Amino acid sequence: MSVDRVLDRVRAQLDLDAETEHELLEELRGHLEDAVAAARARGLDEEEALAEAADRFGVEEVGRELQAAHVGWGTADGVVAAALPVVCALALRWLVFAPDGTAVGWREVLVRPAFWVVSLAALLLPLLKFPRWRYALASWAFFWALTMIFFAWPALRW
Amino acid sequence: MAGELDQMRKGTTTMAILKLLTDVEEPLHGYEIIRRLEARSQGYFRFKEGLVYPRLHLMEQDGLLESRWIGEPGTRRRKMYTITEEGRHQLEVEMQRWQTFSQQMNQLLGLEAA
Repeated sequence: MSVDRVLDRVRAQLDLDAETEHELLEELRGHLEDAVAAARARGLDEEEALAEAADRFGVEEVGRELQAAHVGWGTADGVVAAALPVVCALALRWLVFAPDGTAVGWREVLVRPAFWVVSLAALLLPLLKFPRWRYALASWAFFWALTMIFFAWPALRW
Repeated sequence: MAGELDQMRKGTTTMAILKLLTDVEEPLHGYEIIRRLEARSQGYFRFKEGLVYPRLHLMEQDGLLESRWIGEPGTRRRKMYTITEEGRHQLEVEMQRWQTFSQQMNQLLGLEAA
């Protein structure tokens, strides 16, 4: 048996996104390696040390509790992360586009506080809300890509 | 009854972690938190060590703790926890609640003069 085998038993209880699982298992690996090292220092051999560490750890129960601790949070993250670019795009549509559906007057929006509020919200909200920077980056990239497309070709109708 | 005991265990674990991180005033990783809690209780409180991790993560989600990874990706990294201001406030509330509860129980059982 190795630390990896113990972690596999924890992983079997998890059904989370890959990044969350990777971080959880990395943290648990550190714990198990420390526990094995402490047991070895007390004179146990590798197998005995690992068996003791796994027993004290509570493998299956920990997996179930970690799953319960993270599953709801991940879902909420996903819903908000998916909704945020849509909300930003709708706000952009309302702020930038003239009633005829073009962005020909886009330079005027640069002096509107509402434009900067929406821009900063699109960037800061994900950064402050989510521990996962990729949501912030995705939202930011989506928002600015949309902005650049219509600023470059303002006569496009939307 | 088992559910109540489980809730009590979770509540007291939270309080013990908050108190430890307040006292040490330095970031600690999960393994170190467990070792220090064991040392503080002189082995009286024994629990499955791994169960501290879901508790730490829930406390972080509740804003009581914050964490950061130290070490470079690809090397051995550790997730270090510190208490937040909200965590300190929560600890004060929980300790006050605990004192009131224990005083009332002691009085009820005749272990303490009214």
